[in-house]
Amino acid sequence: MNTILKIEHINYGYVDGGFRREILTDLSYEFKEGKFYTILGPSGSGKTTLLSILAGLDTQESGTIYFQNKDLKEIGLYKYRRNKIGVVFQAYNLVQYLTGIENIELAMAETDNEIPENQKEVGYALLEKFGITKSKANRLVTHLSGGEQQRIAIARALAANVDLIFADEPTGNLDTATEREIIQIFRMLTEKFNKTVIVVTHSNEVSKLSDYRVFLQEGKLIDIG
Amino acid sequence: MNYIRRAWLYVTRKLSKSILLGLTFFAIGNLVLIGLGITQAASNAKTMTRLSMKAVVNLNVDYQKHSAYIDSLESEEEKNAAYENSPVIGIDTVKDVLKDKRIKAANYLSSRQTFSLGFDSVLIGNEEFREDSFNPNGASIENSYLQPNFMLIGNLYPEMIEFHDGTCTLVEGRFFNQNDIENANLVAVISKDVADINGFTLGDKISFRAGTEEIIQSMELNGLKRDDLNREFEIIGIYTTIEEVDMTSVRIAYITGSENPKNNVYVPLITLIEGELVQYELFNQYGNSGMGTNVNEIPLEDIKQQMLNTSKVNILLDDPLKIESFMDDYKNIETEYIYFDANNKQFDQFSRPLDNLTYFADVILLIISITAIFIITLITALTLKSREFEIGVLLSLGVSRIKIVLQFFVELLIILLVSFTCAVVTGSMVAGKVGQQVLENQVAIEPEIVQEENFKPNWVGYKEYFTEITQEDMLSRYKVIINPILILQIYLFGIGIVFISILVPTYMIMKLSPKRIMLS
Repeated sequence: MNTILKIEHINYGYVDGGFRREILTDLSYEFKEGKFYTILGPSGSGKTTLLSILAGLDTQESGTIYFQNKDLKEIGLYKYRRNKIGVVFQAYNLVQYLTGIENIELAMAETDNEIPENQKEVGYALLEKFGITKSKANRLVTHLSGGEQQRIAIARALAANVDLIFADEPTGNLDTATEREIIQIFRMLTEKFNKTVIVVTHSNEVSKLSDYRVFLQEGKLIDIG
Repeated sequence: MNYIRRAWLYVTRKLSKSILLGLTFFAIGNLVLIGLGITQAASNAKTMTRLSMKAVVNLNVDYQKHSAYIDSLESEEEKNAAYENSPVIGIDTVKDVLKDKRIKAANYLSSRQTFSLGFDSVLIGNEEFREDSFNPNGASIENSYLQPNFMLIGNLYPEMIEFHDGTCTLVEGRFFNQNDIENANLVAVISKDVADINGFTLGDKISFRAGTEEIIQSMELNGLKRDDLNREFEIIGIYTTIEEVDMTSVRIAYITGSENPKNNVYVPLITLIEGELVQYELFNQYGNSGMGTNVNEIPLEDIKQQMLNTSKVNILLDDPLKIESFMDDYKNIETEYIYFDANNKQFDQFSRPLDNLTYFADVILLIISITAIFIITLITALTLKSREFEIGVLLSLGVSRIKIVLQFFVELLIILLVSFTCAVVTGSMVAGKVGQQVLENQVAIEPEIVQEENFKPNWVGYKEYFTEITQEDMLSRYKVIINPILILQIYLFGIGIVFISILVPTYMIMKLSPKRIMLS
């Protein structure tokens, strides 16, 4: 099984009230292709910080991150975000003055990856897979429910034809039924489409269905099965 | 979906924000239109007035100032020295100026009254009642032939202003050229009236002589051969003139044939001076009038130089709008007593209300610009705060910050173009009225212009050649017209404001951290 993302000796901290606080200490880990990971840990353990570093939204103080054996610095953070990964947030983070399909088109337009020319049709088809009908796809995202918005957010994360999806508390704002649906979508992504999904969560429901559960405590990652 | 489409979608879907911003731009657009309209109308009025004027620049000697200087001197010695060193314009002074390509014609003139030999001059019409003042005994002399009946006018430049301002028209032959001037060729351009009454044609010779019969006869007693005083010219051109003797003049009883414009004979200046020198020598040799006192002590070349000096050079340029730059280019030849005059004093005086109006409009524009930049910057910065989340999303998708800034710029631009287009429609309706009202108010508070009644001699070489203008003429040309150039200026102005206004938000966007936005 190939490694899609590898972190080596990552350190990250900040100064707060004159004291330096270490968040991540000499962190090393390998994420395999086509697997569903959940990162667990108590509040303030640095889960979100780790995710932001892995997603190229922030940079570590030291250490190296490799995507498909290539240093992230070499790839460039903009290119990495545009072409290699997709990110799903708790608050969905869709562009609110755009419709569902336009949010998908936005990701497609930005990536350098190969996207079919009939982007709109591909977008509708993608949304259809996540249970978003064409009529809903044509509505402004603010006119859709939280679950529908999150599905569109996941679809958008995939729209750029990326292999790695990050999600930060993706079900945090959703009811239990919708949470299950979203987890099923993540499972489908790994099983059917060989995508790697890394989710930061507090939810046991989510972690139970993941392939790997990783616990972050005192700046260290511990594999808990 | 590129940033232009995103911008369009934002503007059309966030209508209330767009309308609010649009109204701000609309108000700015109207004010800018009024400001720019007034400035342009004032500038146009001045330009059109300038264009309606002859492009004349005169190089003058300020004898009034020099006299005042002499008066201020205490000792007679100093005064005499100052008189001897009176300022003059010499050929060397204007040598480079007259080579300028912008010059259409120039009058560097010297003139001499003269007597025709064997041909007639054009009569004035006052011969019946003329009182000849030439009589040294004070008594009237019946024979008008004793008065000089022609005027030889020498010019240093091969094009004369009179032949370009409609006063004279060359109807046959040619005017003398640079070669004729440099070689002192004996060529002349005479009036058609003189040619007609004497049956002259091109190539004929005409002769003139200085001095009255009485003087010549007395010089003949001293050994003068009278033919030595003759100057023979070949007719190379014939002209017509619209100038007439003013029969209503208070001087009409004293006007001699040489003052009739139809009796003007145009010759190269060097030719005129060379002839003058010959006559000068003869008068000194055979005359007994005492005019040649100490003449032998002054080298002839110096006398020639003195004769070539002048107190005024009139220059006609090919374009009235080049006057300022022309004067600037030759500022170095101006001295304390030699100066350029392009009738600017009067022009500036008349254009003062327009200048004040322009100043007022410029200040308004400056205030509008600064206010607009502040308002738009503030609105954009505040909007940015509420759109941080969107920016974070775009950054997380890998959209570059530059494209985000461009999206904001295009959004403002779309609103600006729509609002300014509306402003052009409304502004063109009010700008004219506001501009006219402001001008009327401005004129009302201006002190009345008192025209100075300067003595303006009309002698050869003393003419000003300026076009008389009035303030009414100038102000009547003031019209605020919304033309395509003005509209283009307004849009450029708006784009400039948007560009400056986006600088602060750009800095803010550049500083935004996607992690902080997305994960807060």
